[in-house]
Amino acid sequence: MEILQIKNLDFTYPGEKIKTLENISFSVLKGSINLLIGATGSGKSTLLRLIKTQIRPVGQTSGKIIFETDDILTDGTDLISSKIGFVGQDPDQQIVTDKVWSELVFGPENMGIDSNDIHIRAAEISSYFGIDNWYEDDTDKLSGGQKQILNLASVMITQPDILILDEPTSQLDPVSASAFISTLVKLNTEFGTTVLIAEHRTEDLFHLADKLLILDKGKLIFDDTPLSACTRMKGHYIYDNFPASAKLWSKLDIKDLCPLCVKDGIKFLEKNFYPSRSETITADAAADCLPVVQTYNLWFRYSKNEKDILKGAAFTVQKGETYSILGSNGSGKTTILNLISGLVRPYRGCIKINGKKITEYKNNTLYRGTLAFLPQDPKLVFINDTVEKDLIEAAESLAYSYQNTQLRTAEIIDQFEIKSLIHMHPYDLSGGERQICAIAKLMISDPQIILLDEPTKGLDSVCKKSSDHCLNI
Amino acid sequence: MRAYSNFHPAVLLCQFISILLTVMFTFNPVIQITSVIGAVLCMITIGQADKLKKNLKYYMIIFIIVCLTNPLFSQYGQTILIKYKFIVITFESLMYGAGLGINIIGVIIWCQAYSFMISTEKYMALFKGKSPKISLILAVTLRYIPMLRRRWKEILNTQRALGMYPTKKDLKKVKFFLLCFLALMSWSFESAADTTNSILSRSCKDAKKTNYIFYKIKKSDIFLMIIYAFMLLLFGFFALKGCIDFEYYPIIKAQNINIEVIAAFTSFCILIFTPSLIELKEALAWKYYRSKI
Repeated sequence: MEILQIKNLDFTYPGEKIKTLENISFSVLKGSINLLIGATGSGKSTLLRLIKTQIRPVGQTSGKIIFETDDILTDGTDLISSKIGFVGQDPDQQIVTDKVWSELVFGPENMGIDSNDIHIRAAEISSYFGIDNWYEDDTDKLSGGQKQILNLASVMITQPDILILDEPTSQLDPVSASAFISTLVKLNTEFGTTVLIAEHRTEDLFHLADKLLILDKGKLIFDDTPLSACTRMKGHYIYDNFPASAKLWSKLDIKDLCPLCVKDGIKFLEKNFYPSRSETITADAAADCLPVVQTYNLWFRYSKNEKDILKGAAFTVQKGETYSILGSNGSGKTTILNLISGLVRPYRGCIKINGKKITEYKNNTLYRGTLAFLPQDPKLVFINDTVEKDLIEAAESLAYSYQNTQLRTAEIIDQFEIKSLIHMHPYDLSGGERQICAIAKLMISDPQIILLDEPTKGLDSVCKKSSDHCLNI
Repeated sequence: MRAYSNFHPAVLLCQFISILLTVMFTFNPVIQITSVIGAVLCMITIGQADKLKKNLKYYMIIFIIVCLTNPLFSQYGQTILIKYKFIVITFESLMYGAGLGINIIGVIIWCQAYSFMISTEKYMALFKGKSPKISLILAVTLRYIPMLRRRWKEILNTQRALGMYPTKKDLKKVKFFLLCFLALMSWSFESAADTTNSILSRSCKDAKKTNYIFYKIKKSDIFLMIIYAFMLLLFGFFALKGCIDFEYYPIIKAQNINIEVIAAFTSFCILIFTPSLIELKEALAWKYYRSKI
């Protein structure tokens, strides 16, 4: 039985000539998992928001959105719409209240559910999602993964029939992201909740989805099972968003079913190739062994009574090397970068940049052509209202003369091919564009060392490629 | 220890208000000293003795300032201690100042003790039913304050690592902070749009909003509330009758002790010492249980 049917849906934002969505028709079966993919700007968010009446974007619509039996596009009441749960992208910004428990009860309260009933539901939901340990905590103290689980829980407490998720894991680290996805799958199998999810991290979800929908420039170009997508979408750029096993299969040209997850992928390889493990890959030794970053026995904690975050961390980065730091959330990755960039000091140990102690760099000299740091959120890099102003300001701070400032800025703009973006407000850029502009701002000072803190967070694979390209310049 | 703070917030608030009322509107040194002792005991029993020790010097400073300022402005009193030209310091006005100082310190320590016992969420829970709009605004604000603080720090740190942080103290620094502040504002407005969507997507215009009550009133809460109300009435009755009057000027004169004075004082003591007694009882109960285990 269809729970949701969309028929010939068109949508145009006010003041725009091109339709954001054009002639979209598909249906969602009750209890199924539906995966929606598409490049940034293909209209995924617009489509999902149109289905949730309360947050529908303003614009011109035509067509039908039928939820169960009602057309919610023309006369959807809030009462019907509360059967549709919506979880958005940013974990932080969706939280409304200051306490976890009050966030949970916020939805049911608005729906006028009896206080005793809410009590039981909150207890049930919090133990189901594992929230009970931090039930009375402040929402601001939670990690990103916990915040997103809380967002999901506070939607699930209203007992929706269908759950719509707009890139819910894009701001999460891989570990929390797969934890989130597995919670979602558990909800689907245990409660039969229908799921419609837009996602670009398809690895965990691809083999579980009943249906795959692909949006391209406002048009629905594919609506079938993921397995058939592997054969039919060959050669399309969207294939980059498919899981690694499918990508591998498409390159090999072997007559066999496409493997959709790692498990199937291994089976597929062992069946078709001689089952042998490849030898371990050894890193190429850097050409000239000139250490640029050296850390010795770093110990760090944020305040006297807290746990140590770093316990004797020591490593050396050679010139020309790409050094990556892996670790789960809270393992101290960001802390190490903060230490190297001189934002915080270790209480024991020392850091040498280019053989010189970090404490000897005075008055911003460290940041003049030596080192640059890109934070997790590229938004933080910009403080002016256009990208250009920010670039010029960065150049000015390097004490170039006026002419040189202009020259340097123009040079960088050319190099990064961002001429069309420089007059825009940094907040109006898409995630990928913002990332590139942020890297451009870092590169103004022509640093020898660039520190990147989870630079691929929230980017789809196409954007990841372009920012990778930027870094290779 | 948290036996007392586990009572319903309304009970805690009632006691707090009654203490403030009795202490602030009476001016009897015995009452004031008792109030300070009660507040100190309360702080110790809820495990905040360290805080008290840390703040001791501030209490002393406040006490000395208040105690010495009063004689400078008030020259009433019969017992003259110092007379120099037109400055007259009397024993009575000095004592009045001391009384005032103790009074203020008592109130400060009570406020501190209560800030440990009633958190903001408990206040919120109390007023939630009265005005859902205001309580939503408060909840959102309480959520935004730590978030803004965190973001401000993030922006500054990022700009510092970009080498944009001005090292000299001049107009440029002012401009830099202003820009950062504007960036923080636009970021927050941006994110507020998302928060609004989140509120909207969980809202329901057609339904009547209910209030989920986190704290439920128990029998013990009602019992304690009745005791407090009774004690407050008793104390108020005797206070209005003039049983606890105390005169500083022109000469210090206390009431004669009679049954009414004792009754007033006892009701005050019950008001003041209940939190500490409940905490103590709990501590003993724990000790007793543990010895059994």
